[in-house]
Amino acid sequence: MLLERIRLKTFGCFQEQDFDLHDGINLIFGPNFSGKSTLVNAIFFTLTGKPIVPRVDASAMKNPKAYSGTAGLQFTVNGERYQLYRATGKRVQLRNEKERAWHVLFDDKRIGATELMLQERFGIIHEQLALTTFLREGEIFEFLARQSATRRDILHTLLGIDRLIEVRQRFIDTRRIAKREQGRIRAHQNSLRYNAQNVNEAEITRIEAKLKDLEAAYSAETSDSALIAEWVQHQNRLQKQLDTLTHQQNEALSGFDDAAHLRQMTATIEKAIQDASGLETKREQLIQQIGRLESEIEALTTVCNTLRKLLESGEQHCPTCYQKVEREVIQRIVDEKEAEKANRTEELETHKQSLETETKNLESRRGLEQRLQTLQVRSTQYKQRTQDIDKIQTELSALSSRLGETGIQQNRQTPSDTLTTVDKNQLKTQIDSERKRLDKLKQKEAVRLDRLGALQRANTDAAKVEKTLLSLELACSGIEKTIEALQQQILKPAEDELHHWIDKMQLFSSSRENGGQTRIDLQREHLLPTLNIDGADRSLMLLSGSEKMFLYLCFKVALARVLGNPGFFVLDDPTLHLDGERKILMVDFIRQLAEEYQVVVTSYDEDVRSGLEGAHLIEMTREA
Amino acid sequence: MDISLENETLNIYKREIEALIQRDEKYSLLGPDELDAIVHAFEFTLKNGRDKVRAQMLYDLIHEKKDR
Repeated sequence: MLLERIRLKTFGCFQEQDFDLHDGINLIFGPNFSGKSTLVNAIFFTLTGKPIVPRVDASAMKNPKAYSGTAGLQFTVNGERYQLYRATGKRVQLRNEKERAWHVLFDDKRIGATELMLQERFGIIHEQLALTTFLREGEIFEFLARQSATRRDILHTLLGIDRLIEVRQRFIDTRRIAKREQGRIRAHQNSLRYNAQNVNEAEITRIEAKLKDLEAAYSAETSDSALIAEWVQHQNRLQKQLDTLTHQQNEALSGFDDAAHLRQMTATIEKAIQDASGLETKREQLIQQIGRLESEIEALTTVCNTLRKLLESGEQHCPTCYQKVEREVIQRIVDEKEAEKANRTEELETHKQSLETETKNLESRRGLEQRLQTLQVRSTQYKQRTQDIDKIQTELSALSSRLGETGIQQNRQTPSDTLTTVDKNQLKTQIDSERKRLDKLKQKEAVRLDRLGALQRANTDAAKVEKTLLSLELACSGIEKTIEALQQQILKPAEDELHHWIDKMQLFSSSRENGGQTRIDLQREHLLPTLNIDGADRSLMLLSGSEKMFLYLCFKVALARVLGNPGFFVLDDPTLHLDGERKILMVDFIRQLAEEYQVVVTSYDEDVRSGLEGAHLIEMTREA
Repeated sequence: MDISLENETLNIYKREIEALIQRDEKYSLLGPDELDAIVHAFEFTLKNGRDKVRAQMLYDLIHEKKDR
């Protein structure tokens, strides 16, 4: 970063003024109260938002007559030109020059956002800038007077260690939680172990075996008696069936001496039915003949009646054909017809008698047919019953022989009565008792197994937590080692650089001239250089004022080397309280510094002005 | 912390963890999975900030690889 211009508006004692800066040395020269420190303050404030003097409110930096003040810087970084403005009211604006025009890149009032932007774009961190780039009036003594913890915090910020400490603290918190969890799991494990130890397995096995024997014995007995009971029941059932069948068989033979008689009767009826075949046809013929005879008799009666009426009427001529009535001929015809009618009537009577006989025969035959059908059914039933009876009798015979083998008589009631009821009851009671015990034990065992499962899970959790604890312990130790490594990595080169500048500035030269050695440690006291000159520790407080000043400047440059510096140094009145000889050394130091960095120096000392001849001079007056 | 310093810090951390495992017998229980998990948890916490990282997250980070 190369500073090109300081721009002020109602800032400090200035209304509106620009101050150009050049590469190399810039000497801001003027008497006290001319505004030299305001310019230094303006640079620091623009870059960090804080006044260079601690414990001063930012709003105090504005011009007392103005509502607010603004400090600005124009600078180039990597060939790009920027303008950064910061108001005491916190607003920050960053502009970038493109094609001779300024473009606003950032405009915000939030402190966090601004700090992040400056850090990301230009690597500007307040603490780093304060420690490595600016030397303000009285800073040395303030630094020396700082508490070790404060310096440690600054160091941690510079090295990014504060973030690591935060991470370590998170790990410690997590470890504490894990430790608590471990305690809880251990208590749970102990409780589960106690419960899981009450093993009933052996007792369960013993009872199960005993129960098995008892049940086998009971089962053996109950199964034999049940079988016999079943046999007897079956026998009774069969006997009942046999009785029913015999009764039905007897019913089928009722009215007959035996089956042969039944068969004989059936055969006789069958023959009679066969003989009576054709009765329907014969009867039909008789009915037809009777019908014909009745018609003929009716016709003859009509003719006779008509002819008699004609004879009795006295008519001479026939009223229908007008022939002459021959009374005798007609009387003869009437007689013939009457005789014929009488024959037909006689024939009709004969036929009617025959029809009556045949009808009776037919009815008798139909009765026979029904009887035959009944007998045939009874015969079939008889045969079937006979077969069933034979079958049941065979089965009964086999069953009786089986029962006979077991010594059970059919006339006895139930086989269970034969068992010793007392033994059975005892067995049953024993089984029930053992079963209850077994159930209880199994319940206990189930609970135990459940707890065993829980214990296994708890053991897994415990192993996990133990590993977590170990991992977190390692993680914390790793962070501590990393902090040490980072400090070593940064501060060791800083110590070397400091040595280099001490040699250059010929500090503690009397010791070196005598072959002595100066050792510096920046780690032991957190950035505060501890000196060991010729094997003896030497307090910085006991150094002379100029030694302190030079050592501190060398320390700043050394830190700037290793931590990264924006590219410039701002030294506010560095020769204050230095004698003539030391002033020359300081001017020389500034010149050497300017070989690598842009340097902004303020001074009211003419010796410095003459010593830094050729530097870009910004002359300040009290009127300004 | 800028990215280069963050990466450098991560490398240092990994190196220091490995050295601790080699040096201290008690860490022999931890294997490469745990080592990776620790470095991952460290990186995660470093990047996400302390406030956003919960104990359970770290626990899971340490175990997730192991359980996978």
